[in-house]
Amino acid sequence: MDYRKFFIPAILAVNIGLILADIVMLSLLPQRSHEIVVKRSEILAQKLQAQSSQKLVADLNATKPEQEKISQALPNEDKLIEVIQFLESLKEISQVKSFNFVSDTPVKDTSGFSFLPLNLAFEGSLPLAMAALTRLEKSPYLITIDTTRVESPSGISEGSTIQVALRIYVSEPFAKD
Amino acid sequence: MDWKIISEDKDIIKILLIAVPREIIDGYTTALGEAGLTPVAFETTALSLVRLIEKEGSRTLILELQREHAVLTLTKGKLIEASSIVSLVAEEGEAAGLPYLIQTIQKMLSFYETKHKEEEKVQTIYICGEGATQSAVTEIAKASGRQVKPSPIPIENLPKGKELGFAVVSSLAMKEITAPKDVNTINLLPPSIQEKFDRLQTQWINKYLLIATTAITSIVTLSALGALIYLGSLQASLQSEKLKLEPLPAETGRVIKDTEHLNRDAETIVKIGKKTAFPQTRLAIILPNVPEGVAIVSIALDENQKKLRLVGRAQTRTNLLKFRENLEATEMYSQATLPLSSLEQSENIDFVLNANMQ
Repeated sequence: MDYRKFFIPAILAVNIGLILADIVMLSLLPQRSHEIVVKRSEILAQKLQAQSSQKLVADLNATKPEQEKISQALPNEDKLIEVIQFLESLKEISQVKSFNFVSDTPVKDTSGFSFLPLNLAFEGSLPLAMAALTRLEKSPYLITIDTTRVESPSGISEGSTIQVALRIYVSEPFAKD
Repeated sequence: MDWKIISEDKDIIKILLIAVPREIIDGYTTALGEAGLTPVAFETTALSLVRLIEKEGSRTLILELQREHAVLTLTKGKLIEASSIVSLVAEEGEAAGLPYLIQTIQKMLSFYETKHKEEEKVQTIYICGEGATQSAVTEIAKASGRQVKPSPIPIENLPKGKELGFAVVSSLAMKEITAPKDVNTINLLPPSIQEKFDRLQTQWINKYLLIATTAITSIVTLSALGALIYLGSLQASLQSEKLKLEPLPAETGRVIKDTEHLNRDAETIVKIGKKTAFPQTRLAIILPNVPEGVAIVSIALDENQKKLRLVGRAQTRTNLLKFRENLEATEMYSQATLPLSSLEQSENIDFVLNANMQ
């Protein structure tokens, strides 16, 4: 049998087979490459997340005092009693007649920040009243004044009644977690 | 038969035409075919001899001396001026051997040098072939009166002392094989053999192309397979690296939440704190500007409206106007207004003063 006559068809068949295999493999390559790129990105993102998380924890640990100040400035429901105690402490300077919260729950200002509206009335000489107001200003809480009314039928240089409508800004959410 | 263009001037084209009896070519073809060989070119000995000395350029005689015959060729560059085959075997009544050859050389030289008197004479005779012995060289030189030299051999490392016997073969080896249709070469190959040769060559080219294609396809397949395997292993190693990565600390979520909360609180503090104003400063500006004869009984400060409202009593209108003037002179208060009713009386005036705050 002359095998040489089968040489060309055999080579052609091998070629066709190889070309088909090439087509299949070459079409798989971009898909594989894409999967590898995605996987690399995921690993990188996870590593970065871990690093960011570690840095965040370290930063938070390093700034505890500042965080305390910020947390204290905006009390939540838990810390409200401390605010009340602070308001009561104003008695040391001026005779606090009354303070009452206008609302039981925080309301929002025009910018969307939550606050508790509060009316405060106290008596005393004007210098003492001003000292009490200064104490309010220097307090660790974020307080703003809406209106102030100073009244003294015999003249404000004498003993005065002072009524202040103020806002104590609170943490959002106000309710404890 | 075949021909080639030797030179081409404006009006003259010189053509070399060579013809060989068919029987001679057929004889060689049959012999080669029986040996399993396919001839690709035929040419005459004269052409092979000319190729050996074509670089000389001058008129030269080249002689291939074999045992039984000799080929004489008179050339000038690539041009063959005359060619003759001389039998060295004596036939009846004829001279033979070297003397006969020398006689023929002399005749040829005499004929051409007489015919072309004004042209250059043959100075050198080149000799090659199996019979080119030293004695033959000496005898020819002596008889012809010309310088006789061994012909140049273009191939090196031939058997020592037998180089001249391979002169024609080595010249053939240097020949560039082209098809008979080429107008610049001579190839006496018969057309039928040329066709067979072309067909065989085409088959070989196709076969080599197919093999080359297979080789290239195989290389591409192997490369693609290698790339797939490499990418697969890379993917596996990335997967294992991913699995080895430590999960984010449990506190991460809480820390992020705390940070967001802190940022939000800080933003609140900055935005609100920036516009906060306490009344002590405002009161501290009002009180020193209250002149003698004016008593304030009520001060109302509205930080949202930026309005001041003062209620009091002035002893005289002049005192009241002075108070208003003092207030407007400050940077904090402006547009202080008194209702007309407050100005109707000239003494002991109960007044209400409104002003804008900065």
